[in-house]
Amino acid sequence: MTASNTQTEPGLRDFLRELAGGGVVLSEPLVGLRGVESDDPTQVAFRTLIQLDGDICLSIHALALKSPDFAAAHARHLARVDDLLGRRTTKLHRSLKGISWATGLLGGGLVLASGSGAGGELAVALLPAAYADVGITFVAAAVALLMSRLGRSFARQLLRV
Amino acid sequence: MSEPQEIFADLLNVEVNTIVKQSMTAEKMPSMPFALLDIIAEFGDVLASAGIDLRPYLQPSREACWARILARSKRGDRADSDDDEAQRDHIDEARATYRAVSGRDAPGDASLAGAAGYDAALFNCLPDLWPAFTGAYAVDGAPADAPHPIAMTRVNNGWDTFERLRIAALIARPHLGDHHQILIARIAGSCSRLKYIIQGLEQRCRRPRQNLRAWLRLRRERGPAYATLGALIPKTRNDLLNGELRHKRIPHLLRAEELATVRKIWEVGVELVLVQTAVQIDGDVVTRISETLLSAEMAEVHGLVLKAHHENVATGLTHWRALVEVALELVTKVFRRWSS
Repeated sequence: MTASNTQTEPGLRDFLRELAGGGVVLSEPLVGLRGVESDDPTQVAFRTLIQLDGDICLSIHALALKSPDFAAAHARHLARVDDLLGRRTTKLHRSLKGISWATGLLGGGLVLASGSGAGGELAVALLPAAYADVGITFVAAAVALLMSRLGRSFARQLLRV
Repeated sequence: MSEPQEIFADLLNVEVNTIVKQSMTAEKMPSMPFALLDIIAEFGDVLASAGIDLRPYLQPSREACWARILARSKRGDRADSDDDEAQRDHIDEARATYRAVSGRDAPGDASLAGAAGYDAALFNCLPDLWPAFTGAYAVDGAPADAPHPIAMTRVNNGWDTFERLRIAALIARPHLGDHHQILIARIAGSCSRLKYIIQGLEQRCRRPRQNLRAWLRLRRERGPAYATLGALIPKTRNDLLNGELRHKRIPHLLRAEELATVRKIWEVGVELVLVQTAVQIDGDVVTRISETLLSAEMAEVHGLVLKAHHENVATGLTHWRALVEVALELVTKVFRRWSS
C-alpha cells in the first residue's frame, strides 16, 4: 500500500476541501500485482483524479498494463472510487439539507418568538401599538439576515477552499 | 475564498482522460506556488529536449522586457513596423486594463518615460510579451541538435514565465517535426491558461479593498499568519524555501475553477492522453483516441486501456449526475434564498 492508501479515509470536510481545492486523488499500489517486477512502494498502478466539476483523469502505470491481474485490480480501484464518491455525495446532500432546515427552523422559531412570545410583549411595551407590528417585522428581518449570515458562514466553512 | 456557487460553475460538461505513465506515485499536488514551478520545470524540460534554447526567453528580467516593449511602442525611438505586433500599442492596452482593474488612472507617458525602473502594476496589465521577443528583439527559433537544459534557480512562478514559455513554444513550433506538434500545442495552450490565471491573480491584489464586504466577512484567524501574495508570486523555488514562508500558512489565492485548471495541468503534465471522452450537458459525446494507442506497440494493451476508460466514463457520469443534483439543491434551496 502507498502512503495515501494507508491513511485513514478523510472526513467529509477534508474530502470537500480536497475536492474544492483542485481534486481528490485515489490510488492503488503497484507492488503486489502479479507479473509486475517492482519493489518500489511509492509507485502506484492506478491514480484517479476526481475534480469537483465532474472531470476525471485516470493514470495507469505502464507496468500494471502488463499484469494478468490488470482487469481485476482496475475493477477493485473503480469500486473504491465509486464507493467513496457515492458515500461522500450522499453525505454532502444530507449536510446541505441539514443546513437549510436548521437555519430555516431557527430563524422561523426566533421570528415566531419575537412576534408572539416575550419578544412580542416587549415590542408592545416599548413601542406604541401602531408601531409594534413594524417593530416585530424589523426584528424579523434582522433575525433573517443574521440567520442567513450564520448559515452562509457555516456553508462556506464546510466548502472552504 | 471562493463563492460556493463558483465551485459548481463548470458542470456543463464532463471530461474523462486516460493516461499511461512509465512512472507514477501517489503524491499530492503541492501548494500552488510550488505547483506552478513544477509545471514550469516540466514544460521547460520538454521544450529544452526538443532543442529549444529557452535562455533568450527566460533571462531578460521584467524590467528588461518592459523597456523593450516601451521601445517598440509609439513612445519608443526604435519602434518598428515590420510585423502585426507593431500595429498594437501594448502600453496603451496595459493602461486601459490598469484603469479597469484598479479604478485609478494609469501613469502618463511623461512619468513612464522618466521612470528609472518599471511600473510593476502596469507590467501586470500587459496583454502579452510578444514585442519583447519579436521585431528588433527576435530570437532565432530554430531548434538546436543538443538540448539546452534550463536552470530553475532563476526562474520564478510569475505570469510572465508562462508567457515566455508560450512564446518560445510558438516561435519554435514551425521548425519542429510532427512528433513534437501535439506536445508543443498542449504546452502553449496550458501556458496561455496559466498566464491568464496568474496574471489575473497579480492584478487582483492591486484592486482597492472593499471595506464593507471585508468587514462583513471578518473572521478571527487562528494559528500562523498567512503569507502575502507578494511573498509567493513571482518567486523562485529558492525564494520560497529560504524565506520565512515555512512558518506561514499558504492562503488559497485562486478561485475554485482556476485551482481546478492548475490541478489538471499539474496532473496531466506533458503525458500523452491516450483516450479522452467529453460529455456535454446537451448530450453530445466526443471520444478522442490517440494514434499511439492504435500503434503496433500498444496492440496488446489497447483493449484493456479502452475498457478501463469506458468504465471510468461510466463512473464519471454517475459522479457528474450526483454533482449536478447537489449543485441544483445548493443553488435553489440555500444560496438563492439567502441572496434574494
